Amino acid sequence: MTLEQQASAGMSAEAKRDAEDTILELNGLKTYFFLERGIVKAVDGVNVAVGRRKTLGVVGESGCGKSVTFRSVMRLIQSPPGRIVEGEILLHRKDGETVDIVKLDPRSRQLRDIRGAEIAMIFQEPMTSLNPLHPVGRQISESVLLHQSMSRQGAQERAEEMLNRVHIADPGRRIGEYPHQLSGGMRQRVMIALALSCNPSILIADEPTTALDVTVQAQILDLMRELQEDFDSAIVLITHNLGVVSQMADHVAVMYLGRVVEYAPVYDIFHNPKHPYTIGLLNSVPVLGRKEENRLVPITGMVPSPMEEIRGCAFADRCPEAMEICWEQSPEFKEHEPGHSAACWLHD
Amino acid sequence: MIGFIVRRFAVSVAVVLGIALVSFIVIQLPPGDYADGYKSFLIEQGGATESEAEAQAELFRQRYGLDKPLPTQFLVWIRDMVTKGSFGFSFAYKRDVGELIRERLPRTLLLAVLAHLTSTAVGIVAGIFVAPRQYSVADNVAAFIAFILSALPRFWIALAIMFFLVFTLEQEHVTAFHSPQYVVVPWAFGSLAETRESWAKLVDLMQHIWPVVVIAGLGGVARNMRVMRGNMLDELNAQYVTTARSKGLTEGQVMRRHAVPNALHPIIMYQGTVLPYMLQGELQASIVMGLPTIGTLLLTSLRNEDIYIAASCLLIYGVLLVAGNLIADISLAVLDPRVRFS
Repeated sequence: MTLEQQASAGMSAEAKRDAEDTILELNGLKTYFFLERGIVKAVDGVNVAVGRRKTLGVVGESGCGKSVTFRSVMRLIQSPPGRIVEGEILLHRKDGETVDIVKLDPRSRQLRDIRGAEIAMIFQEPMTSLNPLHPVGRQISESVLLHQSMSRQGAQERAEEMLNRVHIADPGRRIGEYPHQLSGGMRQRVMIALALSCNPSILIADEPTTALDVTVQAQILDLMRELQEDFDSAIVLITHNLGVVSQMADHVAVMYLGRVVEYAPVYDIFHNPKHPYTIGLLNSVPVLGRKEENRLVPITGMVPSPMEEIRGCAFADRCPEAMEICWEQSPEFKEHEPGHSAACWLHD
Repeated sequence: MIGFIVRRFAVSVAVVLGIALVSFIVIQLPPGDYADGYKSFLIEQGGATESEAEAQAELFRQRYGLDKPLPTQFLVWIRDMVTKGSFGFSFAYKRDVGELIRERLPRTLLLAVLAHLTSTAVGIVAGIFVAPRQYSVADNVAAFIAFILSALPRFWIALAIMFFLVFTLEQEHVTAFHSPQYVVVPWAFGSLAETRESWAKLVDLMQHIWPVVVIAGLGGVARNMRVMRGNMLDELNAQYVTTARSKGLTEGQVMRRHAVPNALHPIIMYQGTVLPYMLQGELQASIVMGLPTIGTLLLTSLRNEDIYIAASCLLIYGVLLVAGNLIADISLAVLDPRVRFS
């Protein structure tokens, strides 16, 4: 028996299945921005995993590093000033191999093969995320031609098929139209069609519905869920909308100041939140039919600047339950119940 | 698309008519006319008395229609231009203005268009090169050169280059299009000998005009580079560029297919106004270098109050400006669907 086999034999059945079912793992990821006025630690040690065909909801306030974390996964961080300084991003590829994306050159062939084909991304601003000068069909077929051996004609047909899949009426006509001729919701549909055109195993959606009308939001979310099943993709849904997370996600990662402070199945996050920050977030969401005396409770204080050197827990300053140790030492992010991790001294 | 072009063209014709009117009025603004100059010439050089000279001047006015009211003069000028292709009569050259302009316009355009093309090509390429290298050494050096180029007066550069040509390179003929031995050589490509001669003439031509092209184009290079660099920086930060990268395109493909075409948009729009800028550069450079182009013609005619030449030159510049804008509009419509459809 080799060492590896011994090791795997030692793993519990559950852990083994978990490993097989994980498609993306971030371990201790740190992405810093080196600016003239100081170092911004936008992502400061993120540990999170994405399950195959599962949806991970990533929530947190603006500036908590949720976007930067997953832009780092795509290596879309502008450098300089941004740089991944530590950690690994393990992607379990379609061919069974595991690569550490951090080790790849952002301009390398290997990374370009991952972008679009294995990990695709849709963005917050559907109005600006398509090139205004090319017909939408060509923008989809460009990606198809890049990753699949297909003729121009075939790629064009694929684009048309994808527009049909995202429920755009009359796709044969629409592929020839330009982004300015489409509404915001339609453009986001086109973005989804573009992202899924090469069957990626992970779809990163960075606030995909924030810029859209509420009714359109619901349609887009329904569409994503429907296509997730058809395409067998995992989804990383970055949002600050807890309602969206509750509907869509299997697991939730709550981020605060560049770190994941709580990670759990979606049910546990809403019914058994462990971190005071998560509790604060939940209390600050309006709930229909909530009694008069249970008004919205805002989280007091301000998010500290990411440039500040913080001793202890970053949330201590705003935490209603802060203890002495919270100011002294940073709590470790660890599992408190099976599948439910948090970084908080309350549970130690 | 056709409708768009027809509409733009119709507007352009109206604008040209307006320019013709304005240039004619502007030329009439200085006090006196060519006949006054003729009169003082007769008194000073010919020894004529005041009244004799005045009679001669009046005769001159009658012969060339200068005694008619201005609206009539204008209408006659326009009528002859449209029906006979005649731009009026030059008092100083004693020739048809149309002939004079026809002689000089092709050379002028050759210079201006060459200057324009080089400045656009060099400026755009330099802009695309420095944009992704923002604040690097290359970027700063380019910015420094660009500021110097756009700050130096063109007549000064012309003098400096002329000095260099004559005293350092010891080129014998600088203030002409050709060296004397090539002036009479015809442009012909029939036989091998003829082709060789014409080729030599072309090389000789280039040797004479490059300073003007460079001088007229330099400021344009600097401007185009700065504009292109700024546009590229804007576009490289645009969301759709991130989308393009996230598809897995190479950085070169992202630039070529996505960022550059979008960044060209303002440059193309601005080309319409650059053509007259180049003509102006050509004008300054040609005057200093003494090349017989429209620029030098305009300058002497303004001094002489040779109104038909001056007005026609202004009109030609106006037409070129309008044509430049028209071409820019059409190119923009070809590039950008949003212009095409609105």
